[in-house]
Amino acid sequence: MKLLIVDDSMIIRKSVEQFTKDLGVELVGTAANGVEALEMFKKHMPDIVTLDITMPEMDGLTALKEMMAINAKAKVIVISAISAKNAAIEALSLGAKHFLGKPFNPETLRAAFEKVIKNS
Amino acid sequence: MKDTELKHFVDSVLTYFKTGTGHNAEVGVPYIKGPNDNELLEYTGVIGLSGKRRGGIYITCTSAFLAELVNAILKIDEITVPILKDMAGELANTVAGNVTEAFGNNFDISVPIVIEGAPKSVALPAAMPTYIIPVIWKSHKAYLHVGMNE
Repeated sequence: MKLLIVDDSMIIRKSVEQFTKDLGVELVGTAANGVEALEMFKKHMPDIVTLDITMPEMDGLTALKEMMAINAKAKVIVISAISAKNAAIEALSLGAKHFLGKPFNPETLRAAFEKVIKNS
Repeated sequence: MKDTELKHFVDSVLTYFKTGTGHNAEVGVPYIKGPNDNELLEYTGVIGLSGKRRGGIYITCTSAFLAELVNAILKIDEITVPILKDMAGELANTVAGNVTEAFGNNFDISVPIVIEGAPKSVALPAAMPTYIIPVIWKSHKAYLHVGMNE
């Protein structure tokens, strides 16, 4: 499964990459904002995307809407520090398959991936 | 700002370190920033707050604090200045983001900006009191500053 990681934090991008290495996913790209994410999404057509919400240039929820219009079968895991429930509700209503709060650790991230992969 | 509101920030800090690193942090007794409390450490992550509550938070840290935090998360020893700055921004982002549920709708946070070095201070609106929460993690100290209107 092809993976695209989207977050404006390098630490988060590296964490997701490192924590998912043994899950059988192939990292095809990383992006630091919604605009870059859409370019990478169109180029690589990933099966799984991890997507932050609060980012410069274009936020994650706007990018999510665009991604779903391009390929609604992509499995998007929104990973955000925003704890407000309405953010999670909006993400899921736009087509995300899972909402994971920050901070996360290897166990919580892998559990999210396994859930999404199992249901695909 | 009410005591209960300040507690949301304390809880957010504690959750960050417990969940993200597996090592608990301690917080000191919060206090109101005075005229002599302007010192910033080496890296400061700043988040603006907008919507029904306006103001900002910033967390100021030493490079040793941030380097150990990066190491705890990523298990890497080769730590560059861009990584330290990124860590300061992400720490501020997560602490601010984790209080959004407690403050309800129309409480928005900005993307982080990071200040390197030690300018005299970060200007939060002067009309509102700024609270300082000392944070101790693995013997390192950092300071979370919170200033919000009522």
